[in-house]
Amino acid sequence: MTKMLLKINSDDDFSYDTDGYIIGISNFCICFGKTYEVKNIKEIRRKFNDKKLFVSLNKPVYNFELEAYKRVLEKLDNMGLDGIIVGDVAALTYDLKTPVILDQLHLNNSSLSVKHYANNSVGGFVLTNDITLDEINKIKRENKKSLLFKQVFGLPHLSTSVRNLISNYFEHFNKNINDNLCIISEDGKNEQYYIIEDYFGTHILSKNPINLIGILDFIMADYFIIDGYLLNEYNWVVDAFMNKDASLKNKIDTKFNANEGFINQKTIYKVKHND
Amino acid sequence: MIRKPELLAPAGSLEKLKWAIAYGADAVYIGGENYSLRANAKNFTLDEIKEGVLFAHENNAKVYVAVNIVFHDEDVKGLGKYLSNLESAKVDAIIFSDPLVIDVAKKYAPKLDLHLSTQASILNKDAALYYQKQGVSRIVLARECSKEDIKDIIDNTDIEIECFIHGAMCTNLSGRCVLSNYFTNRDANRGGCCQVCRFNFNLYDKNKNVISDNANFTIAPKDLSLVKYIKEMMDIGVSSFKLEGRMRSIYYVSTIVGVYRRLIDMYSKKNINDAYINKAIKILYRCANRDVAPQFFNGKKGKEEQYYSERQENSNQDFLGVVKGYDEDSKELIIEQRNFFKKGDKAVIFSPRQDEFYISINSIKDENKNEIDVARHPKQLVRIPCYKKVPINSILCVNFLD
Repeated sequence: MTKMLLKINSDDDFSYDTDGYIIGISNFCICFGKTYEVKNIKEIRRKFNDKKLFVSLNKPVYNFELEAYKRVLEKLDNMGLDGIIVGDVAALTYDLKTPVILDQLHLNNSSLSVKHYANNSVGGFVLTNDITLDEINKIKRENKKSLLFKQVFGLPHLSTSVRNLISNYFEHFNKNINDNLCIISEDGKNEQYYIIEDYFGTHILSKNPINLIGILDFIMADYFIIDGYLLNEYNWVVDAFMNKDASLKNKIDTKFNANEGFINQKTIYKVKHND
Repeated sequence: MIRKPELLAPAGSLEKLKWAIAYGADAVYIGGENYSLRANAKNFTLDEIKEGVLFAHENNAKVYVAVNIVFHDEDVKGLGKYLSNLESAKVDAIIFSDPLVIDVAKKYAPKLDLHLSTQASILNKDAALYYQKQGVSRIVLARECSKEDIKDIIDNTDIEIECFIHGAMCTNLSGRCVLSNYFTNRDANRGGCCQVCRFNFNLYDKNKNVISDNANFTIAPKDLSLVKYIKEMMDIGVSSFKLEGRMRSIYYVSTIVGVYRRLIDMYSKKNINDAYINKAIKILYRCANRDVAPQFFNGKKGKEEQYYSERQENSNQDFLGVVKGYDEDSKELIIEQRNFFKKGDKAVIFSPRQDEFYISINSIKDENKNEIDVARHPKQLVRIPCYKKVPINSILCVNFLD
């Protein structure tokens, strides 16, 4: 049965009785509302010994960070975690005992790429939000032993840059503003997006969460991820997802202006036809 | 002599491939009709790939084919056969980003060299070692790598390292961006990128108060140019210098290839000509339609690498024509017009693997050898006097070097 994981964005999130948690590790994760030091993880493991516990180091790693990255992974490897989520294939060269879960944001969209990494010691995959339900299920059918993680609620990640796109702008125009979270919209369009700057760079997320509560039973994933990053008052949503209460779909959609993203919508890429 | 890196040029068509090689590229990279991240370019048919490879090999150059989309299951069908065809066509390597290509290539085209695309955003030596273990022969590093990163990766792996040295940049880490998918439903990682990072935006604070006025917030990067760091790139042992621009014009590709060819040759022979370096910078900056910066090469996340408001692209009409022939009897160049020029203009001619050559356009004749004052029609054939024989496919430009 698919388990429900909550991404921890504040200490309060530990109060939700989900099947488990995903915890971001300081300096090595992006798009977490709260991050934790390695030394905190041991205590969290002890405190929540009945929960599935995954830690996330989901960012690409710079060359100069490798020593620290390796050290952190080695420490985490001895903490009895259910998995370590990594964003950089460097981690695949370290022979970790703990299952490694690959989260490359928007890569690994096919059965064969999952198979490739599964043959190279990767135990699971955080799937991108840009593929359809049929594609997800085909990946699972072709990779039965690989654990699949799918975000079912929360703001989808759209991009990550190492540039300081907000603070540079403020500095350039001499604006005395310190916000690291802003909103952008294309000129003349209604759609809005969050743009957020952190220690790593700048990320853009949709301002409209995905809400897959209506189709949970059809998604062949091993873990569902609920992510309240940048959202407020979502405690009842967590309960709804824990109870798989599809009757609340419209209420969630209305409250958060949510949608099902690409789950039933294919992207296109050829828009011109050459002669 | 210092070991010479490969100069790798983009070729968006068979014609551009020939121009790039003529102007000094050691290798070109192209896209086939499928599986390439320029899905909407005029990509190569298999027959054109074969012809391109033949032409390249006859001229001691190599051809790499981009197979660099991030595959969905529906895209995989036919990939094995395609790779096998590329191997039969004697393509020198494929450039890929999705690791499934490694496994498919091993099965169907085991002789093909595998180059990992910058789309995989490799930033560190351990990630490079992962792919080395998979049999990949070359990695195109992420454009976010600094000189120190590049050197350390080269020193601690046994794999060829290719780096972009010139051309357009993504704002975001390659492969980690699906803005295009969400803004337009066009799949960025399957060749449909609509370049959202070149759009103009309104910027608000989190309470929806307007910060930017009149949609003047952009996240657009300036272009990359490492023209001032060629020697350093050679010293640290970069194997291949890559130029961006499969969608760019013949004029652009020929010009930048010609300049970098000369710079690489000059540094490898330790025959440094400061005057030419300054001239090279002038030519490259003039040729680009955006401002340029060394981006992350110096290891800093600076402020000078991006634009902050409005779209800032310039087009110029420097490209006056292409030399189609030389009439030795009348000592006239036969020029195919590209932009307006007139009698009395001063011009410069860039030729494949030769010094540039200055010329005053003292007279212009039409095809029937009648005197005219201006060449105003695109593709119009005109004659201008020139005492020196100039090779065909030389480029006549506005003289912006004086």
